[in-house]
Amino acid sequence: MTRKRKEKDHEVLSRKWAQGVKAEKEAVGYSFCDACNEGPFCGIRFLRKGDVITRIEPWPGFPRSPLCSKGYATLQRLYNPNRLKYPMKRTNPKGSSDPGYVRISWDEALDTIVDHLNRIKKTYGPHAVFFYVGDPKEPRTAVQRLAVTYGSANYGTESSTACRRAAQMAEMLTYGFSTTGNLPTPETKAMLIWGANPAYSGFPFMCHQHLMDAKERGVRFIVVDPRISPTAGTLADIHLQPRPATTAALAAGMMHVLFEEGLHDREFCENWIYGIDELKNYVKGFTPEKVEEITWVPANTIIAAARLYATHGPGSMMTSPQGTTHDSNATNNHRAILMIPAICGYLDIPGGVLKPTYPVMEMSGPWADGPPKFCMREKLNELRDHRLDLNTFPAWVEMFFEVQTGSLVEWIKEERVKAFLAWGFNTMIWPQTHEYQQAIETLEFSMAVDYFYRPQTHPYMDMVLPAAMNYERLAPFAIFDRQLYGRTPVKPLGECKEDWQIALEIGTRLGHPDIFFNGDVEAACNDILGLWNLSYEDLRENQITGVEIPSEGPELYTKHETGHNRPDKKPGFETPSGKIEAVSLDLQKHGYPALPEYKEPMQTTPEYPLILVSGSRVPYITHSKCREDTPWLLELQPDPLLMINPEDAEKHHIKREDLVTLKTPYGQMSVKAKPTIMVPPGIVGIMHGWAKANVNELIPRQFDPISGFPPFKEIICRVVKA
Amino acid sequence: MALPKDQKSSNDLIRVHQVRKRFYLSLSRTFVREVDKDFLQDLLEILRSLEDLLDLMHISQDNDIQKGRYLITYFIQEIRQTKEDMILRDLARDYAALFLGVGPATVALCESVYQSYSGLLFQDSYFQVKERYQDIRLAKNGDYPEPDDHLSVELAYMANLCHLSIDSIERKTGEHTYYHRLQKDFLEKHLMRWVPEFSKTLIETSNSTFYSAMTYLLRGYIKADWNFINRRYDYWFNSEI
Repeated sequence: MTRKRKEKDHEVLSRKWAQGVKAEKEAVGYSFCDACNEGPFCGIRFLRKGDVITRIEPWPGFPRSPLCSKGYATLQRLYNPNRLKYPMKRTNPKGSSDPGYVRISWDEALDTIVDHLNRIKKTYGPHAVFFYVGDPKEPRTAVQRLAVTYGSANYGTESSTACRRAAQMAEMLTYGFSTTGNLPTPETKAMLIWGANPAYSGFPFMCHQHLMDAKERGVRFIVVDPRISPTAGTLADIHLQPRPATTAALAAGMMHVLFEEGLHDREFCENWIYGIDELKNYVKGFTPEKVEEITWVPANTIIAAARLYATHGPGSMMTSPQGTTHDSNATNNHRAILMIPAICGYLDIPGGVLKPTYPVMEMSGPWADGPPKFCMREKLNELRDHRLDLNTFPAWVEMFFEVQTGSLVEWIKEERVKAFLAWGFNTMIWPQTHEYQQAIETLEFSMAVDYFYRPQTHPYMDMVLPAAMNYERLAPFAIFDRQLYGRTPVKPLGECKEDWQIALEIGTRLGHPDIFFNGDVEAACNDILGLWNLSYEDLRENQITGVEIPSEGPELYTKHETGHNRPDKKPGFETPSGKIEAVSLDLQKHGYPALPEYKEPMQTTPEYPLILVSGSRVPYITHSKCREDTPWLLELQPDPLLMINPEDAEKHHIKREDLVTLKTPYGQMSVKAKPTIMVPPGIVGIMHGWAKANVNELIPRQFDPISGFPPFKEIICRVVKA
Repeated sequence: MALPKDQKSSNDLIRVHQVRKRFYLSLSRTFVREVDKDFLQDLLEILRSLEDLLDLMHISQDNDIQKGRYLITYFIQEIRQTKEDMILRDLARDYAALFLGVGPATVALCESVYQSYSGLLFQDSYFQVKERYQDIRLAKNGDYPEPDDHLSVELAYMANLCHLSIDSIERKTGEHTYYHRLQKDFLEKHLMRWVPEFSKTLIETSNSTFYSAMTYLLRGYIKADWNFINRRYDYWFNSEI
């Protein structure tokens, strides 16, 4: 090649490219917000000039609207100059202070991944490769397909650590269906909100305003939260503030009152609750007075709450998807809550805790699970015996196709995992984060797909790939109830690719172009949309209003009586006994406490007189997600703040913004203090996910034996002025 | 035989523009992507064109130029004993750490970040420079995945204007005043407004001798070129081409 020719190739500005360039007019486009996750997926209408988005606003008429501060900040994230735009590989050995990342081509990146996958499969077998999806959760569908096709049983997600699965497990074990409850309907007379703070962290389209409206029309609210949350402050007729991790005792105390005073639904209990006598017997010992000692909630308040809930029927419920499962008795604590509406007979009745009659075919929790057929769930289940968590969390294994990832450190040390392929991966999600970082660093190969380079995660890996953001993705489309919506992406920045596309291209290069649609994202979406005889083109044609999937029939209630609840059409619930299980047969089978038993949490000591509640939220930052990429949100709260009751603060001469040392038996860190009455005396609270103050380093790897969830809201601590 | 006076002035001016164009292209190439074999080999040539530039534009006393010149000379001496692939790998690491988001602090290469209140990519500057390119029937190479207001593209625009100036002088089209004005405008409305902050950030952030050197040269050169266009160019220009 001549020198001149080479120069021409390198020209970044030329006449050739100017030919045919037309003036760009502003046009409209549509996408969904991923600042929370694929759950809310709030609609965004944007103005674009060419491939540049100039303005965003709520998508008019979209079922999930309006946008919150997080949604608006996604534009800042999109055009953040620090964005990762090219595939990068490390050039310094693992363990070096600088990984020495350099840019590589997509061809080199994908070929390297495929070479490692093939080599590891040949040397150690396919199950030595762990496929992981953190946040966003959108790629779960495509990555499951990749894991199964490759032949690995080991696919896991962040939901096994801090998110929904432990509560979901409790729900499935107890009710046979998954629910965090629902908004009050016109029939609802009472609401039990337990551990949730919808005023701050509920989906904007469904929560606080609707709850305020319900209060105005006379619905009575019982809010259970150790903190004076905005939800408790604005809604609670009765606010119970239990000692963290004493959930099962408080629930037992309320059930004690219900049974003792005959306020329970006798007929429902006798006919539809398995183990009701054992439950009655168990809660007998939990008198309000005893429960007051355990939980710090006054006996009279417990009695009043139980009476209010039972006498203002029908009652519904809203639970946190995870807040009540962040302790070492996660599953049974949450199961205890679920028994309260059950013994009141509030399940699946108008105004009660609802179960949809005809959820959209094969799509439970749309993209958190993904459509079973596309995800090859049957084949994944066939590989179950090779799961890494098979013997550690057997009840979990029966419940979920995802591996419980808490023991990843041990599996790597035991050389059972040799490679780790991750989408949206943040090591800070785990307790004792450094142990996971160190373990991952020893792997033969690891790769992460992300929007940004994350110093808390990527220095320990071999390769980082740039992901297209929500405005630049076609997949996945949105599913709300029975309505489907598509999006109109702009060209991704740099060489970013959609999460799905990366998974599809790896699968294609592994030798399965037919299974992975030759890397064509739209073709993959069409394969799913084919479930309803639709294609993406149909979504485009109905861009604004979406496409409705007709329901198979009207909503039904008390389906357990009519056989509409189970696939076999028999009456009952979808549990082993066919009833709501106060005594869980699945837990019994695996030797766990089968009743929703109380387990005493860690006790405070003179050295550690306080209890640490980590992971509470603020409205402008999503849970443990990284926030450094959206400085607009950081302006609202630039630093991690330790919430401490003013009484406790005064005892230690701590004032607002004083630097304090937060210490648990497992670690310590410095953080600014924020005295506030939001937390009661004896409790301190801090958010997850601050790289500069990662509270998870202070949490032990002591997991709930049933769900494997860590004790984020149970650990004893002390606070001293630094 | 001696050339007529106007012919001599024209030739001198063409030479100045050629040197300017070459240096703008070298600076553009510096930031467009990582250093490759060809560019590494060209470094000596760049140094030579820098010397030409210093002579022609009388800018050798500028602090930034001096520092940049010292550092690039030092860099060339340092790498003499190093294998080429090692040099390229180290430079690729430096480029990635500085500009591709994997270092402790990323230095943005796009004007929008410096000229907008929001500090984001794709702000007003992006649209403005795109229009300037279109004014002279140029557009960014569609295969180049960076925005139009990327430093390398803006520097390439200046190189293109130098080229158009040369062409107009050679062909005596009388358009050189127009291209002269475009260069002055672009420097004043764009490069001069953000390159100083970019350079300051990079110099404070970087441990890379090469990128520090080239950034000193960039800052010094942008300043010098603007001075040249405003003063010496007028003088030259008025001496009847």
